Amino acid sequence: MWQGHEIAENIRQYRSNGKLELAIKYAHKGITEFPDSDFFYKILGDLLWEKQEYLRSGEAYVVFLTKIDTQLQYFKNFAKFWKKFSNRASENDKRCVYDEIVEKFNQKIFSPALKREIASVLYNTFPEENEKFSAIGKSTQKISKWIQDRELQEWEIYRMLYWEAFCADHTAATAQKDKYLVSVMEKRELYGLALGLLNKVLCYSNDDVSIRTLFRVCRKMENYTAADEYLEKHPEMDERKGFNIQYELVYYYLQKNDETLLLRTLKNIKSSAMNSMPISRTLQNFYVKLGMIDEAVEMRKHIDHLAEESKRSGEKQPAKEDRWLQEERETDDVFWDTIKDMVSEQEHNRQLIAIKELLRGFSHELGQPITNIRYGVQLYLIKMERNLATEDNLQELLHTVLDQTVRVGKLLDRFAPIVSSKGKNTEFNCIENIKNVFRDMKSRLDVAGITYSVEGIENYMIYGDGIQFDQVFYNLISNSVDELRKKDGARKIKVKCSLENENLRISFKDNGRGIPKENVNKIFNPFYSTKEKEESDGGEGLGLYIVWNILKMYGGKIRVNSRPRQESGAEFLITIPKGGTVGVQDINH
Amino acid sequence: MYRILIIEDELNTAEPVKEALELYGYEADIAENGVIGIDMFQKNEYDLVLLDLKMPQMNGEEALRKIREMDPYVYVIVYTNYSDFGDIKTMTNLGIDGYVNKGPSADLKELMNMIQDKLNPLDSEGVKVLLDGLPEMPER
Repeated sequence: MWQGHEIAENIRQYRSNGKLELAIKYAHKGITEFPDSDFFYKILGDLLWEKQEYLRSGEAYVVFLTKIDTQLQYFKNFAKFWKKFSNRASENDKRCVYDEIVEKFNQKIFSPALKREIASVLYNTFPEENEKFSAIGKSTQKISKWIQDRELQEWEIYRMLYWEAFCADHTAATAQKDKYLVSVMEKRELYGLALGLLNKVLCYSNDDVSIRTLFRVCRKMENYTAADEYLEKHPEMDERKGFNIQYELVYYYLQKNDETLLLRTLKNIKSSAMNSMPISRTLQNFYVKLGMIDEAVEMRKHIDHLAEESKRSGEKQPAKEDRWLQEERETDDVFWDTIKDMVSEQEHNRQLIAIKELLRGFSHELGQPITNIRYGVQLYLIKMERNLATEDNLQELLHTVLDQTVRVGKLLDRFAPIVSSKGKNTEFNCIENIKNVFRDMKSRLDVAGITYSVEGIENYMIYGDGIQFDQVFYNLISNSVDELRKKDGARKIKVKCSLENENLRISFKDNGRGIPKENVNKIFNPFYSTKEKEESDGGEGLGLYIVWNILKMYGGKIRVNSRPRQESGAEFLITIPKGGTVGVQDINH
Repeated sequence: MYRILIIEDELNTAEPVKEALELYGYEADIAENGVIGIDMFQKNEYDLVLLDLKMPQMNGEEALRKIREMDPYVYVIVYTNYSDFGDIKTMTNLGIDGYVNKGPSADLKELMNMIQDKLNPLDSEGVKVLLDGLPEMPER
């Protein structure tokens, strides 16, 4: 137990008995014994408040502020205090306590996060004083000079920024100044404030710089809600060609896990990168980050080429530099080899994670029938203990046990293709394999009156485990059949294979009811299922989860098309990277 | 009599639990999913909720959140698996009064004892009370 507990208990008792003086004495004792604790300062502040010694109470709370440091959750104690304090205390007391906080603020003893909290509570304590900020004027130069002049008066700057964000008028005429203020806020990590002002700026001026700032601030906040809203209102925006916007869009689509648009954005950057060294370098780094090593190496060569060219056209580099060029190239090779090793290791880890995930799902699903059998037997035993067990009960129990073993069997069947495949990789024809799966399931498709088509690049060979590859389509087709059976009229499934950036891309589409937007993120979770109980087959919710894991094992991906075209229905997009291997490769290797 | 709500999509799990609870002298209702469960919780008065975490439509966390909004004090026991410790942390913060495992360690008697400990802490041998024909468990 905390050592200060006893003192706290004493304070509590004296306080409830109305012996404030004694309670205050104990609070002081607490402070002496635990000088680093915020707790006793808060207590002291509250006790002094009860004694109506507002100034001293405020002073205790100022020390409390300096003690809470990173424990922001305690700030609300101060916020509550300040609310009643500014109502009750005299102007003089208020000014005293306020000045004390400002002094500490300028001494930079608060953390940035705490500074934000304090500023949001205190900035408008003396509103009449804030009017002076409007006198600074609208010119960016004036305001930047004003800020520079107050380098040591952090509080003034914060106060001005908060006043600008919440009290000042913003029009087209102030747009330039506001943009500058946004950059000041961003620098001080006042992201919420910056976003608020930025939204106002964007009403008047839709320039590249502001849009880029919006996305960048969102990225730093790790919250893209504001960017989502903006994109919704300006869907044409992601067509903008400016590099800076494209740069932020890479991060945006990366976070949204939207591979199609991510690759498109990278392509856009590439088309503008051809002559710019910095852009080429940035692009190279993105490729490394995304594990697209071949592209990165290619970009590296391009950068070398650019360097050569500028050397030829520009001033001659000193001979000394040339001497090191060979060495640089050599270490470069080592660097890229290392990166390649790391990427393949990462791939290996990804396989292990996928297998672990599958095992987790498996054991989870196995737990259910085991529970049912155990509960059934245990219930029977309880009845026997009480001489309540009947012949019927026993029969019922035996049926339950048998039913549940059937369920375990079905579960095993579901995992069989993954478990039993010998991990043997061969080359197989992508489209032929898909067609074969459809043929295998023909009777089920016929019964449900479903027509299908499989089109696209012929003769595309994949190296990997064909059985696992087929499993992906068994699962997708099964889901579609269940869904399509609920619908009247023509029932269709359409599969299309194509190459995109040398990656294999398979679109799997049915004309069912589709997947509601709110479920799009959930459907690959294990045990997520919208199917009704009676149609479930003992592995409910596992189908897409298995698909997802199989694809994950070799770096492939599956996602639901979130922007379906006019037709209704669900569309799954599968991407398999160039040279990707389907299935678990020799894990021991 | 105490009344217990079982929110569980697996009827093969829920039914033996319901029957056992009735043998132990409780009244028990089954809700097949979270949505129905919340609805029943709203309409009737329950003393304890037995909640499965993995359910379609509304997951356990969401259901627990809703229950706690309506009643911060009702006993809630959740079903978990060994791998769900992350969930347990979230649940504890939302307020649960216990958890039981499904799978190889699933134990109906243990569950009954746990429920009795919550509802009749002074009288965890409820079985005897019933069998000896002693007076019914005290009304709340």
